Amino acid sequence: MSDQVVKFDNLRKYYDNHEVLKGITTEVRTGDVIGLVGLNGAGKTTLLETPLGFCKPTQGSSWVFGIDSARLSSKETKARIGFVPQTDELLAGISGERYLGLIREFYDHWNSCLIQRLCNEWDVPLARKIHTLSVGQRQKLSIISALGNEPDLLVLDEPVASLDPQARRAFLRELVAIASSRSCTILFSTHIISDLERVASRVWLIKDGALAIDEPLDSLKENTGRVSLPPGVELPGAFQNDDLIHQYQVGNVQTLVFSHWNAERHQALAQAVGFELEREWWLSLEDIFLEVHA
Amino acid sequence: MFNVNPQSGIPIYRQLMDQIRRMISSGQLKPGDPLPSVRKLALSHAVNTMTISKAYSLLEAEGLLDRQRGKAMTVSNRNSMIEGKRVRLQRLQSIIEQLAIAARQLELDADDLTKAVRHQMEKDDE
Repeated sequence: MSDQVVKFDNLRKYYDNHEVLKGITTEVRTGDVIGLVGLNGAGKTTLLETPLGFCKPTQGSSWVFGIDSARLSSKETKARIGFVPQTDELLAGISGERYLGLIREFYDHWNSCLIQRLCNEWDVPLARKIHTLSVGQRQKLSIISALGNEPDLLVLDEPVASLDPQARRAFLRELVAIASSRSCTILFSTHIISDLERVASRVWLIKDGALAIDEPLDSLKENTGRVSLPPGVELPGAFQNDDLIHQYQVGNVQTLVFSHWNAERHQALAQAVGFELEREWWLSLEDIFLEVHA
Repeated sequence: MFNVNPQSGIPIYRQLMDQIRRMISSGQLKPGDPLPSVRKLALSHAVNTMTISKAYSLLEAEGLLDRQRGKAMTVSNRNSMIEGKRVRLQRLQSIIEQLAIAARQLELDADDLTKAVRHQMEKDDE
């Protein structure tokens, strides 16, 4: 068994004539926790729904557990996946308890203890009809219902958007526990970047339908550098390459943001311009996100 | 025991390493003391377990921590790693430099800073 859980090969998706995904090639390995970020409309939901078979590639391919996800029909494979959609698809007219009972019917394996514990800990009133629940309570129920079959792959599309800070933290703890105890692979999108920094092992940043960043979180933070040049100094041509993420000028000071930055490159730039340069060492992921989109 | 700030640009595993180094350096963590398990620490801070293991493994490679099969990581017994005050202050040098730059920009003097630092530390002790 390969430990490749998801694989995209030159994945392209068009809606009408609009190209939403522009040739994405990457893979997800067992135990990865992928945090997906990007602006609204960048293609996050389309990307997350592709390995589930909800969205068929226009070109290229998408594989999940070694199976073409456009032909994902076997019950066994679906039983290995859990999904929390951005807008919950709960049935409004029935109680939470009844809903979980219906979901359970789909699966051979169901961990009732886990479901019971989470409903208690997260304060989900199961006896009430779903349409009487708050948006946050519905989101919790939606998350819980995706965990009962103890999936090997968990895909969550903005799972915490409606949760209060306390509920978000409880959810993140559960995510950490799930990722560590069963070597579950997790893909989740979020706009709350500090959450991603806690739990993600790898970051995907999607920009205009392409993966602008696909890198382990730690190395991304360690290898992104922001440098300001002294007034009037121009950037040497050798440094104007793909690693230059962003370049801007305030007054006569030029500021540059580089990926794959390290001490040697920093030294080389300093030598090339003939000045000692200060490097801002640690950019947060939020800074990096903003620089990529600037 | 530790303090994790995901918004800081410093990767979380490095934050943990720094904090453990400091506590060993001051003797708050003594040779033979056990560290919390990876899982316990990960769950209490809602941080990926791999982040914690990475911090522990790197400190083990540095000789500061010992790993025994099936037991908690412990602070290494090899040598006394307690450092004198001057060395411990040096560990704060880069933070102090930044603080001094920021204070100058804000036109605050050393007395203002001392007062603010004292106030903060007394608050933390409560």
